Amino acid sequence: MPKITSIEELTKLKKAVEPRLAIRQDANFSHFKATPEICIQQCRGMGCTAAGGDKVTELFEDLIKKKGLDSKINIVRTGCLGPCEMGPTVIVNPGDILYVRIKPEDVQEIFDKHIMKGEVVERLVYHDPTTNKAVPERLKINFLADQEFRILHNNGIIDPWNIEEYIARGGYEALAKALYKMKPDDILEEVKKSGLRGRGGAGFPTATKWGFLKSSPGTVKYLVCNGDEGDPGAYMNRAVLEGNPHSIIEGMALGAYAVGNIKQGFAYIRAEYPLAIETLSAAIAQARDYGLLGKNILGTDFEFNLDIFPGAGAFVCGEETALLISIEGKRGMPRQRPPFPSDKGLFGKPTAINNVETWSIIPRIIREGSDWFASVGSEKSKGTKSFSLVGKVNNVGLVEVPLGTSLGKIVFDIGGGVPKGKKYKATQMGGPSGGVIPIEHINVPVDYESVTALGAIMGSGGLVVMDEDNCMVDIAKMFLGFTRDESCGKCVPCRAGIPKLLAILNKITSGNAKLEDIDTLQELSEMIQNASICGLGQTAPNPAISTIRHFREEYESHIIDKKCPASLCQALFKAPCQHTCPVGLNVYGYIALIKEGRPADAYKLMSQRLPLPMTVGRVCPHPCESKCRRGQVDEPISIRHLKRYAADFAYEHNLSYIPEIKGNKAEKVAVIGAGPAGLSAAWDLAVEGYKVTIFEALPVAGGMLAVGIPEYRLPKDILNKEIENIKKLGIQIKLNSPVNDIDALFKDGFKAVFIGIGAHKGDKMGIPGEDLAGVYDAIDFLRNVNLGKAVQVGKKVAVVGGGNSAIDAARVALRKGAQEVHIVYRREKVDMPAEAEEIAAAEEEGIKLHVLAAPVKVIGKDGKVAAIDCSRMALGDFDKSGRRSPKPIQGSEYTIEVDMLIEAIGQRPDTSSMKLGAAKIGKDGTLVADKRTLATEQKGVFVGGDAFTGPFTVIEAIASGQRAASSIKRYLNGKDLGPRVDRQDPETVDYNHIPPTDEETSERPRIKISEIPLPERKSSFKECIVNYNAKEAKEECSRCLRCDIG
Amino acid sequence: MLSTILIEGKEIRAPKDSNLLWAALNNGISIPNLCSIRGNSKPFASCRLCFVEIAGLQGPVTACTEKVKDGMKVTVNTPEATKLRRSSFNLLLSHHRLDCGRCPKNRNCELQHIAGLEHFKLNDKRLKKIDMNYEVDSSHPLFAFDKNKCVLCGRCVWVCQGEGTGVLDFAYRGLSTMVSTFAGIPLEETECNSCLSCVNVCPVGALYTK
Repeated sequence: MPKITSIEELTKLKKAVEPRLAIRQDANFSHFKATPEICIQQCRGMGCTAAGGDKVTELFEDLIKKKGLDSKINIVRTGCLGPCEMGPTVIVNPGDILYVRIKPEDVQEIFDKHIMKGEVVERLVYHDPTTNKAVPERLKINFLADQEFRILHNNGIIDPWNIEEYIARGGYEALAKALYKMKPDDILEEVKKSGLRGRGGAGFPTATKWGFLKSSPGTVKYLVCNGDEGDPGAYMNRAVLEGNPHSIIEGMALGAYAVGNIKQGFAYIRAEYPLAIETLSAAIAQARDYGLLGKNILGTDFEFNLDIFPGAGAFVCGEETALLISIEGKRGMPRQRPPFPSDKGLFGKPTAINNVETWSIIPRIIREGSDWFASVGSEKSKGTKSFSLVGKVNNVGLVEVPLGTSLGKIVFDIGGGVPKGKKYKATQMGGPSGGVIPIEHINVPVDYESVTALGAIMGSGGLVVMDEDNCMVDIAKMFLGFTRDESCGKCVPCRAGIPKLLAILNKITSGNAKLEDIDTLQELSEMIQNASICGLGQTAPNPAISTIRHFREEYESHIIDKKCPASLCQALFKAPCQHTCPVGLNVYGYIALIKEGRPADAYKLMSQRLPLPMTVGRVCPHPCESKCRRGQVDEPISIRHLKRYAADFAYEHNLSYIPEIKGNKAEKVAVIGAGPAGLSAAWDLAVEGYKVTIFEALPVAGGMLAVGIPEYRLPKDILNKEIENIKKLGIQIKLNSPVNDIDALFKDGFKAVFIGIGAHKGDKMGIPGEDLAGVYDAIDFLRNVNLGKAVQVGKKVAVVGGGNSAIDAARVALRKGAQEVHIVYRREKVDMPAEAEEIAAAEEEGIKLHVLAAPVKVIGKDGKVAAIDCSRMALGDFDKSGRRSPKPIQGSEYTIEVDMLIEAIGQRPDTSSMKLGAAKIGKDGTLVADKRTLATEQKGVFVGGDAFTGPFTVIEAIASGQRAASSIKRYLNGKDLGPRVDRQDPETVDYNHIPPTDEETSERPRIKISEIPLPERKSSFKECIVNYNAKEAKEECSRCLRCDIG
Repeated sequence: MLSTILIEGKEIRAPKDSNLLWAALNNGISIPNLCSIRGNSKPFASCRLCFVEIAGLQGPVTACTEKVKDGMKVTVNTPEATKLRRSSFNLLLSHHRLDCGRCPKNRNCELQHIAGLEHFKLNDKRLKKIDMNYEVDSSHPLFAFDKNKCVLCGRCVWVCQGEGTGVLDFAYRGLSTMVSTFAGIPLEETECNSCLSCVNVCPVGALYTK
């Protein structure tokens, strides 16, 4: 190939190659059969290669050869396409059809059906995770549709090993334009106007950096490309190096021309990127051959050379001074700045260092203009930026979006949200030098200033998504462990300080820390930031500082409660199920006993900590199951059903567990409310020997369990049997006895009071027509039905809300004879707080879900509800709970004809007729108390359950009742309430410590529970869920991994 | 050309653009330091002990990396600068084997000197001590090298590479960073020309004559 010596020759070559690329960008599938040519573009990025992409390509090549179609079908191996987690991926053109996760055995099918017959193999294309619909066209996949490819615009199209294809896409046009038509200062001006800021992390304006270099005296200067991408979970630069190497060469040549006096550049690329080094080496060699690098570039007298320097694998060499020293052949240790590299850089000469991504976008800024570049982005952060999206996110991969795009859009729209229905917690930005952005700030525009304001940094673009299963202290430990290992050891704050930070963090995660340790962490972090020489040390404490800033509660929980909210810090517990259970039930213990065939002992073991096992075994939302490690293999152990199995076994065999009363105490304690919180508090206090009286306003005991939860979920005889059992401890329950004045109880001789009145008052929507006859509150409705009062249920019923009460009300209305039941919810189904299995059961029973809709008006006829006007809702920005907040769509109103409307949008405690003394009412009508001791501001008065938390779960209510009982005990003994008062009774049941066999741990789903037939379900209040039989229970127990052993 | 600067209220004259730390030391003003070495134009700046505050600059800076400028106002004993000096000192001591009684450099040790000057404790209890437990290299007939005492100031490396035969350099990373011979071979087996420059510049009892 003769060297290219003019613009005309470059244009000629471009025109000659362009047609070859046309087919690769032809997204029109109807062209597929019409064209004699087909192109298969295979991604050779890291993800696809690791998943076996090379083998897939070989198989395609073999088939093509066999069929003699070499001339018709072209295979191109391109740079990373982006959806890394779905590899191996190939695009088939025309049509832009993307196949994902191709196994070698799938190749034949794609070849036979698609290549030969033009039929898309739906099975192998991307399927939308929410709708499960096939999405064959690449750019219609939500992950890719919302991206803006500017840096990565050649990935997936060109063969990076072929310079002519780069030229065909406009490559080297910018350089030609610069050399022939622009002065060096014009380039500088264009870059300045574009607003381009360094993509390496700090965001320093590129033109300013070049300006410094230009004005620095000297006739020998250098340019360096920083390709030492080393942040854990970051691979953006790799995609450019491997997919579009010429853009870096051209960018650096343009920089050299703009600054002047530069004949040599270096690309410092980490040796762990062998393919990047090979690809760029090949590109440099080709550029030289084509006269685009070296002497007399494009026939002018401009000279620029580029060499690769492979970094030997030190993270610190990404720091510019260390990088330069490393190129000089010395140990890569940073030095103090100033002098800055623009004054004294490589070999003591003025030098500018820019990141791979910065260099690669320069040619497009010169070719297409600064306005084009600045047409996207935010005010101070122009252009696009590529990110590697990793962690707890459905679509893991490479993402390019305009700066200023909201984090929520990246994580939820492009990333597809968090897998397995887990709750999103935070995103770590900027790798080990960065920080976390918690869920409250999910709307933050991702640009340099906004991200920095939250204590994170843009960094080179690593986005690590974290969910509820990530412990923030552990995250800080992970990143500090990284920087500790990567510290060069030169300066003392970094060398000796980071290990000290880690030691404190380890103390915290092992439960041996004090609260003061958080202050020490912060002080030492600040010192390391201020005293270290280089960026590594100055930013290394950021993960600790940032997690303390946003998740201080998690730190305190480890220190004070010895609890890891994510159930991850193993030193604090035996098994995650027990650690997650608010009551701390020994789950693995009773599972071992059931497996041994000892359900009665299993019942005894759980009863030592849990007064209502049959009830909890039916209605607990089982937080334990969400942390069960078996869930990482296949599905979590069916803990709740197993609890019911053991408890029901005891019931059926007339076994009951009544603990021994420890002593005889003179003090009387009053408990207000006979719900789960009050019953649990009473039980624990009675065991201690206190005289307990429960005052219950309703005619029945059980609280929400009795009047909120319908019979078909929790049969009354089950609940009553358990309450009877509790009464055997000598607890007196006074029904129909509301308490109006706390003080009066003390006057009656009670020494302490526990308030567990629940949250029985329904919230109102505040829309016109709410006062019409036929409009009910779900809580009132369920209470009346549960109490056996006559309830007039309409023919067409609408329930508003998405929580368990809404589902309960709907299913009860159906059983009470409603012909049509609608549930109207303002967000999406996945956002409904009700349990997924309850929602599914409701739908099965024929209840109609209207999601993204909200009532705006109740329409009456003759003073009675006749219809509701609903507005369709659109999801707007994310709110602080990380869900998109619904907004009404103007003009979208529609009417549902109903004769009954049940509101189930929220509940609060009803304290309107209670004199509380010094105890205070807080947000949402709940009582104010210390969250650990549950003591209110009125001496001797404690609170628990929904009255404290607002509507929450039965297991939390039981746990808080027990915690309050501990506090009351300490209070009555005149002891300090202390920071932590947990029930710690010894267990008196032995169980085996035999680990599961390999067969038992092998993958298999949980044993399904069965339900009574649908017609029976819909027409009666008979309990829906059928208990496990002995065989099923044992089988399910054999799935337990026994995390407690070893 | 001499510039006039004000350090701790005292007016001194020093060559313009010369090293601020040395300008101060030459004029009898004490600023703690371990890694700076007369004659090295490129400050190593690793010990982080010479923090001072300079009017017009934000926060403390290391004196060894600053150049003398006319009219410069420097304060050594500000709360912020002292805090950083103390923290660096404590961190240095946290992995220095404290065995003064038996140390050949006892009473002639720069750590002791700095502790006295700054009223720092040698044995601060707040940071847990780490003993790296390195073996002492006493293979050389004239001197020995006890890495447990080394503060990694780098003076020996600099003189060895300049005046000696270049047998010493840094090795490993993080807390495991050490001054080492190539592949950690005993000093006696190296090309060491026994110039003893390293021993002469060692501020602590790491390199000492037998």
